[in-house]
Amino acid sequence: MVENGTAVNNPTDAELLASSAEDTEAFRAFFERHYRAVWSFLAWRFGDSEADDACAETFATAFKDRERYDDGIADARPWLLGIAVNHARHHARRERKRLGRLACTLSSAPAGPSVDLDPRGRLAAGLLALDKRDREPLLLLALADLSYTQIGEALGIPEGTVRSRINRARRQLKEAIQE
Amino acid sequence: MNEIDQLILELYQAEAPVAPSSEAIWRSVERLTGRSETGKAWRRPLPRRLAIAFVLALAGALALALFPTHRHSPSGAIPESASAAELLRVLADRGSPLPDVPRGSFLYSGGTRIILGGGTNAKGQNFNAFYRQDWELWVGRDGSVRSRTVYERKPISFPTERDRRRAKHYTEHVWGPADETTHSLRAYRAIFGMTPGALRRLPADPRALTRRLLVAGRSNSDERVSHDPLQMASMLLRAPIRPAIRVAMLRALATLPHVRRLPDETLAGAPVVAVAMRVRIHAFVGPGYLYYDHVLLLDPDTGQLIGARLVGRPRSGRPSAARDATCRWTWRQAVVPTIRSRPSAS
Repeated sequence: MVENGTAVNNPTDAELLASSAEDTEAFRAFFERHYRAVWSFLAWRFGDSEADDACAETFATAFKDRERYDDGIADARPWLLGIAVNHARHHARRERKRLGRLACTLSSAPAGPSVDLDPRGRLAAGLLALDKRDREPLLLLALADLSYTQIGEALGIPEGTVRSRINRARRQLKEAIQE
Repeated sequence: MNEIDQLILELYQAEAPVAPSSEAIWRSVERLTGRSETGKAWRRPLPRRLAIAFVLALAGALALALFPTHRHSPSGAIPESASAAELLRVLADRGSPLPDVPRGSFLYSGGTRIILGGGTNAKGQNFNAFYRQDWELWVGRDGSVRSRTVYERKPISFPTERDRRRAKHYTEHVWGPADETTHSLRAYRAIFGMTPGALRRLPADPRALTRRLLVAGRSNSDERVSHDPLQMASMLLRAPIRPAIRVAMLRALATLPHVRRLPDETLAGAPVVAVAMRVRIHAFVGPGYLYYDHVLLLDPDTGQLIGARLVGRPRSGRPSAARDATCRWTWRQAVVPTIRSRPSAS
């Protein structure tokens, strides 16, 4: 991009991570670029009070492991969310509690005879029942808008496995909603 | 997006948490990394060349602080590399020159819009179509609202070829009054999501304001209206909110995830900057949803909202010419003394 005749660089994530060894501002720029997406993903799952800490832990781990980052991948969001998912294991109890509460609240909402119960209540119950290996790829797809390839990068599994896990999770959730 | 994925998104976003400032989390990151082995990297003695660069940068920063007139001028270009959040914060700093609306006066907004509406043809088949309208809105602090719309009855385009075919048998769309004045608080609330008093009491803290925006959006009873925060913000900017809230609104939008910056453009010959958010709106006809990029066009000098558009997006696959039909608004704003007066042409 050019402004007033001067080229303005917009470094890739890989470049920012590479230069963060010498330049702390580079990692700060990397953080500013991604913290909102990571925080939102965590806050939706665990609530905002948990998300602050989990987000900071995610970036601390990213800083520690930045030399392992594959500099052939321009967008580091899948890598960061993969770290976030690992941290999410420590907060799994909080997420189960949250989904349980949503399942109860939404299913018990006032409903007349002609009005169906809120399907989100059954969805929350269905998510609780999912195997976490199936749930994680689906949540990365639905909440973080990652592609199948990116989900594979985030979780360290082949793309084909991502597809089959997501399909299985969707099928089970559909059945849960239609029960 | 798959229907299940969409339900999951709605379920998790039901409580709509708002991201805190980056500063608080960054401090935690620094604390955590400082405690770890990586702390060495933060505290490594600066190489000589880096130290020189640091001193030069510090001197530059001091010079800027001592000579503020050399800083980014209010009318200066905002680099296209700036993110949406950075852009919105710069616009908030530049502020809006629009004065507060005195009691007894009205905030006038007016312009042209191309909207998506529905119709029923002679065979009873429904269709969607785009219509052009000239619209004007006067809003007072006491809750008075006048809405005037001059519309073209004939659709100007259609989202799909099926809509176009069905519109061939179109008889007449039933429109509401073209010029309506109301003093009903219920009507006011239906438009802005809150009462005039609540509008004046909106918090100037961006985080609290964002929460109010999201709550107000969800309390709108019309499911077919977009509830995205950009839509709520653009509605509230047409209300007589305090000038400080206009500025805080930009800072609030800067805290939202998924708001992104688009390339700069021109609107009616004037340069504008653009931010966008992907939104989902119930289809006016039939089940399912339509997906759009909601784009706000802002004056780069004042941060004032001077246009918006909804750009249809395919749910997946390649873009479709039919779905890429666009709703557009342009408008100007001014404070006027009566509910019948308009700003001067200048």
